[in-house]
Amino acid sequence: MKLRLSPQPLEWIDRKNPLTFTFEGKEVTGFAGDVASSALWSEGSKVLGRSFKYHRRRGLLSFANHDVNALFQAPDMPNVRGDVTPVQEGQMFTAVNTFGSLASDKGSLVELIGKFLPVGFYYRAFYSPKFLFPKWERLIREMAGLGKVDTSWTESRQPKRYRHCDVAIIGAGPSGMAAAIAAAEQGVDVCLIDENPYIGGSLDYQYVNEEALSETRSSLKSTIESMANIQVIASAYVAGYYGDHWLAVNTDQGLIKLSAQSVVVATGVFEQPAVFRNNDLPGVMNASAAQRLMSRYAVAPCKEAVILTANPEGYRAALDMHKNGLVVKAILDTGSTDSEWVEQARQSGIPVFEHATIVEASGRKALQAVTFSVDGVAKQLACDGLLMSVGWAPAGAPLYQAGTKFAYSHTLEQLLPVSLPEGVYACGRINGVFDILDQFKDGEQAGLAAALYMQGKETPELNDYAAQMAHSHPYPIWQHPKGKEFVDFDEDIQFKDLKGAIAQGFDNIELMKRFSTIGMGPSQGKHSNMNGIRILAKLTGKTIDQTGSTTARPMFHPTPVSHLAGMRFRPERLTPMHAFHQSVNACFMEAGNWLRPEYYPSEASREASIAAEVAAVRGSVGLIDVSTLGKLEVFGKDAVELMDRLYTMRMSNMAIGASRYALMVDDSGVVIDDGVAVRYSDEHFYVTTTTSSSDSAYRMIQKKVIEWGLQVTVLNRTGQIGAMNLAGPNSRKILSQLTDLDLSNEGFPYLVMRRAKVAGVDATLIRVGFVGELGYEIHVDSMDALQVWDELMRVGEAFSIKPFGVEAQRMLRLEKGHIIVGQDTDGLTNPFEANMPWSVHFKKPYFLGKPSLMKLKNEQQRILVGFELLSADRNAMPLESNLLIEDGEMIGRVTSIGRSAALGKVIGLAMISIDYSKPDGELHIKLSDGRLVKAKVVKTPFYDPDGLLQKPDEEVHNKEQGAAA
Amino acid sequence: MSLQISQKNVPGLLHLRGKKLNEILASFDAADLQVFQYKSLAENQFVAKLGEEELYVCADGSVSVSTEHNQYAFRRGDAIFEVAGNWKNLMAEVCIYDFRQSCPGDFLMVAMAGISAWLLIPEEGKPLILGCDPTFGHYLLETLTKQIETSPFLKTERENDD
Repeated sequence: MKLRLSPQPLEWIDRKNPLTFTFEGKEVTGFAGDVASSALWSEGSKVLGRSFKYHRRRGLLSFANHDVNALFQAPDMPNVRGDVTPVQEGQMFTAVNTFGSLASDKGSLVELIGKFLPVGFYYRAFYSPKFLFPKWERLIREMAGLGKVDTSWTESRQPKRYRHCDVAIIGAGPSGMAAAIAAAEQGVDVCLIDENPYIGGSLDYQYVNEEALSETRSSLKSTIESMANIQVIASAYVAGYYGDHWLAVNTDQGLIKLSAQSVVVATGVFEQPAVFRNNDLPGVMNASAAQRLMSRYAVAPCKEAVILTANPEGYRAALDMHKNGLVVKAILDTGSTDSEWVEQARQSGIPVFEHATIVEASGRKALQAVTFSVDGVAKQLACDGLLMSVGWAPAGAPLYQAGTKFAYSHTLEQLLPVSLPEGVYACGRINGVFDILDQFKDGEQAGLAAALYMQGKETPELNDYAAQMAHSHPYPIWQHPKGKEFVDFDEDIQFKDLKGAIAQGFDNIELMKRFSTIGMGPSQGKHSNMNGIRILAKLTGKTIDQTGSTTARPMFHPTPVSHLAGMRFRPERLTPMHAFHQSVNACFMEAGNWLRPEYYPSEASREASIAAEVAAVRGSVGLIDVSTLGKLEVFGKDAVELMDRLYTMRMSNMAIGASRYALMVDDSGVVIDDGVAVRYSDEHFYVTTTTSSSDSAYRMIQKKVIEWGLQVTVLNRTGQIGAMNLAGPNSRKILSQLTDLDLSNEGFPYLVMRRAKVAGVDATLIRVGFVGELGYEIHVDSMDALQVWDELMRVGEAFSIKPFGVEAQRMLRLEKGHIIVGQDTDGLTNPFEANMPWSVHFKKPYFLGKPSLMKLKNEQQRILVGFELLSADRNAMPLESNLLIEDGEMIGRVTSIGRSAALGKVIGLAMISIDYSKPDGELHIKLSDGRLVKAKVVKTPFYDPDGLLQKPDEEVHNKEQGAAA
Repeated sequence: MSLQISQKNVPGLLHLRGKKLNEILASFDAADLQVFQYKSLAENQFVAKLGEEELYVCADGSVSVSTEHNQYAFRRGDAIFEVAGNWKNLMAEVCIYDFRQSCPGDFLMVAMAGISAWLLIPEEGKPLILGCDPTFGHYLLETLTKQIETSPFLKTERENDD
């Protein structure tokens, strides 16, 4: 461990727990708590990755979760961030974006032709000749992108979680910690969020050697730990700030959706690199990166360092290096800093060059020397480390996303928040406060204000603790005739690239970003945007404020898709008879949220099983679970009025105990739902809806009740009531064994409702004929439904009863020509087009959609008709949605189709142009393979057109029973 | 205590709508019950006031309603569960509601894991009772169990179990 330092006061590593992992097949040793980059660096491996475009060697830069040139490929994860991800024993990493190895990367040959590849070259190249484009595309795809995803990896979804607090504080550095305590002291719930595993922030790496602060540090941390109303969320970052102070907090475990009443942003600042020739050589890094490396991981950034600085922070870094026994060869001060710092440096034996200008860094594989100039005289110093401390940019994403306005301060040479939304507060260095004691005060006042705000109390005027001297260089960019001054390390954007983009007219910050791709890499401009803005401002002669900045949108930091996806909540409904369906191995299908039996596999094939179910209903008896129907109870003084207004047919003249088809249209006259309404009493109706629209119909009705000001209650009882349809010529005989109800035609006529006990439980029975046979829809409380079903099946056994599924029901109702809303209608179909003019009662004073229907009645252009296929070719079976074509023009589409065993032909419904709807008219259906098959228009119902089977004479019925028996 | 969920068998649950329901409340000695509060009657039994004209009654014995008073009673077959342990931690996985606002004795109706559910907020340390439409019971039990067993946020709760 060549660069490992002696123990540091606040180090994060556990020296008692050494570990080994491999990088590109070579063993690397470190300690528990080390990140990949710190462990590699401690062994003297300074090349941690290759750059995106030119494959240049790259080392550490920020060491703050933005080092995208030090990404690693793990067997189960691409792009592991080496600067923040703790390594585990036995882990295996390889480099990303290399062709060969990190040491010998063939991709670096790109740099040889670099001058032909300026930014935006791909916008102009590769278009001609066209036939070569696919080859270029393959090459570019091969070259671009970082990391490899193995598509055989298991899908991963991390849960999302809600959390609520009164005050959220983003950033647990000195001001954030002070803010948390101040807010918590007001008795409010505080969430303190920090991206690091430990709270402390810059207090723990910039001031680690400041003896005077050690007591304050301990006090802050222990106070936070002791306050039950402060919840620390560590190793987490706020990825997005949304309305009403909702924060997307990303953690290793998943995303937390955090709701706060007020928010304090104490996110600090990003250190910005200087731009000069070869500023990307391994060994050149931000001074704060060096401080983090030393204080957290006890690793020396180098052995011999030169410090380039424009602020006191650079001097502090130099003194930290010196304290750790490292050689600081010189401090290159770009100006003339406070003499106290110069004095301290000189007392430590560190030479200080004021008004220095950096010229270039040099070295073959890593930094070996720095050339600078003082008063026009060039000097060179051999070194293996160059620490840059030339300025800061606000880590302002949460503030920007909250709607904060920033303005450039020429005093600090930094963007500062100037107009904060209500309930949002900023403190610390993002506020321009650089003195550590002032940071505590700024945090305290922000925390207090945030707590008072959320309590609805008056907030005090906030003091301005911003520094009165610049901590950033106004233009830390030094051009070199030979170039290679990197502005964006993610995308290898150089000064000349930006200059070229601006010269070509991309001289607006948003245009420059998109053309040059500055700030579009994985670090999203955290170390390049500020320099980009400075360059654009300088080259266009504008101020920083005039130049503006790009829009900060969520996510602030790349967030795993698995975290964004979250755990899937896909509600699934089971009917009360599900246990039965399962017990007979029903094949299920999804119908909205519901699982419904599609068919019961009683025969060798699906088709044969469905045919057997159809035959059972037509020949004897079948039972279908229709619990999925929507079921609404409508009661109250205005129940009649509501029913009349909701449905196209008159409901007010229904006798108690009657049932009626209930068709609902929307304001524009489009069919949206149908079902059956029954009247329980003067002021009480029960109505069913289609399976898919029970919730939407209920919502719409509730809205209308309020809109119309009616005194009526509507209860959605869909899940509370189980329903089944017993259908077939023998249904009456079976039912009669389970109820005392008079089932005769006189006692219980067709389309009438009765309430009676069935199998010992209270039931509502409706004589309906959806499938075209004598039938009873039986509705019972859900807890009783299975019992009734089982009894019907038991008694029905003597009649070879079969449960039937959705597919059989579809065929049975098709034979009767009954529509299914949503299948035979679409989002534009009105009742006239659905061939149901009888369902519209215009004599009613009003019903929903009446004005539209009165107009539409005379403008009908299409109609739903029945057809039968003329072709006997079994291989020429049309499908639903196949088109009908006449004279090369589309005249309609098939909405339902099936082979009717009862009729011995293929029948269907089609929505067609009214011009082609005459009975016996020939139609041509275009199959999916393009062939045309002939059909002809026929009247519906196809089966039992007079409806005699639904209302069988009892004598006839008895004969049938005898025959069946 | 570790997080545990179990399905409860309760006596019949009735949904009452209509006028003059206070008389029914009074029969349970709960005339002063506020809207969105419940009163425990005996084990697994309660009466909850959902509105001035709406009650849930989960109790042995009969409740008499009067059509003359425009009262309607509907049986409910809700799936009812008991969640023992740090139930708020589990709820945070599936429900947006800020449970800091709730007090013991509150009856809440919330959206949870994509469906509607009602909750009886218990005294500190007591299990949460929650119910939902019976057709979603299987889904909710499966979903909450999966969260308890797999969510990394609930790791501590699982470790308590070990």
